[in-house]
Amino acid sequence: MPAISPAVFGLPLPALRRDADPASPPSADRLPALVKRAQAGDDAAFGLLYRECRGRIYALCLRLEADAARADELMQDVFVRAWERLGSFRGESRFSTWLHRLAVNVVLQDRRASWRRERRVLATPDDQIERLPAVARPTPPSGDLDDALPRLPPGARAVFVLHDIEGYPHEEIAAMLGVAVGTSKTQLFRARRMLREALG
Amino acid sequence: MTGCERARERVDAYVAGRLTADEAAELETHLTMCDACRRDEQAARALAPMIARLPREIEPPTDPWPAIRGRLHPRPRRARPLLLAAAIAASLLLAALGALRLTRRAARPLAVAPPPAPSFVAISAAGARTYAAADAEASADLQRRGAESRSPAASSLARHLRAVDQAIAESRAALAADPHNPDLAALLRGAYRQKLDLLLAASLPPRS
Repeated sequence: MPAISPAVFGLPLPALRRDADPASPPSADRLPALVKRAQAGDDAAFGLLYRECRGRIYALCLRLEADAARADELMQDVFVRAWERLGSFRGESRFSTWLHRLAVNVVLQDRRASWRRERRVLATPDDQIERLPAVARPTPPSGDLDDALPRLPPGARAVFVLHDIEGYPHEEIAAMLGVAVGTSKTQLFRARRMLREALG
Repeated sequence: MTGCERARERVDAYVAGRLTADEAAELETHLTMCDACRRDEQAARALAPMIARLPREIEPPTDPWPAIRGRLHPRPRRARPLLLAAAIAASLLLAALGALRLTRRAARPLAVAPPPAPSFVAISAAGARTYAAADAEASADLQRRGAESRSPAASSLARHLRAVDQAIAESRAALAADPHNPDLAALLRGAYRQKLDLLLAASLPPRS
């Protein structure tokens, strides 16, 4: 396993799994049976689903929020929401895909709620992601992309994470963020330029 | 679409080597003339290998499962078909008893020429047969599960069911001897309601 920077998002080094392939989770064949048991009320089966999926969900929450403590809280919210909504999962997509989309929605809903709470709602949705300040975080340049992400403004970071890391198309990202497709594209190129400068 | 917009649409495919020769040549011509698009192309090229190396999974520093587990409310669980059938049959029987009571109350003011009041046995004969069959299957299922689990809850359920069954049998016998007695009908109705509650509770699968 390659060496990882010990200061990822200002927390002690968590265990990173670089060998994981998001397209095919290691025990993907087990998931449908576990989902059925969980849908019938079996929380032990749901616990196994959690263990299968937590790494990817935590990575998503951490990169979107750039705050380890908040990412931990959001991951809890994601799995609680998933438990509550398991009945609506019909198996049209893979469970991991359904859960990932749910996690994106949970994080973005929380962000919108935070914006409302902090009275930072601006005139237009596009302005929201343009003008929100970046999280102040004195992270020294380390050459690691995960270290540089927190220095991005939240809007640009969200688009970069969802598009370049998670593979969502601009149309979906725009819908999830409530912005125009062109804004999503602009934010992506802005994020890339900032990251390249940050990483030297 | 302007030259810059077209370049932005294609820059990722260009970096990934997925453009045709003509498309690549067109983009390269634009990049030689446009500093902003050239910076975008350079940023995309520099970041692509870093993104590819990112871990797709990160383990949380502490396992939040205990906190998550504590927030999970019990999900409504699926009822077992056999026991549900018994419960439905019991509810039908209760409805029949209710109808009998209403009929008798409505008939009271017309005491001059009362129509022959339907007896409990006549009204509920079909429902009683359905109920008896479903009840027998449900009892067998409960017995089997009780033998499998031998849990205190299963024993308690079996004890309660035996007591309610005895109450039902006694009420039915008394009502058969005095079919127009409203107190006996109320007694039987209460016993069936108790059984219905027990069957519905038992129809939920045990938590693992």
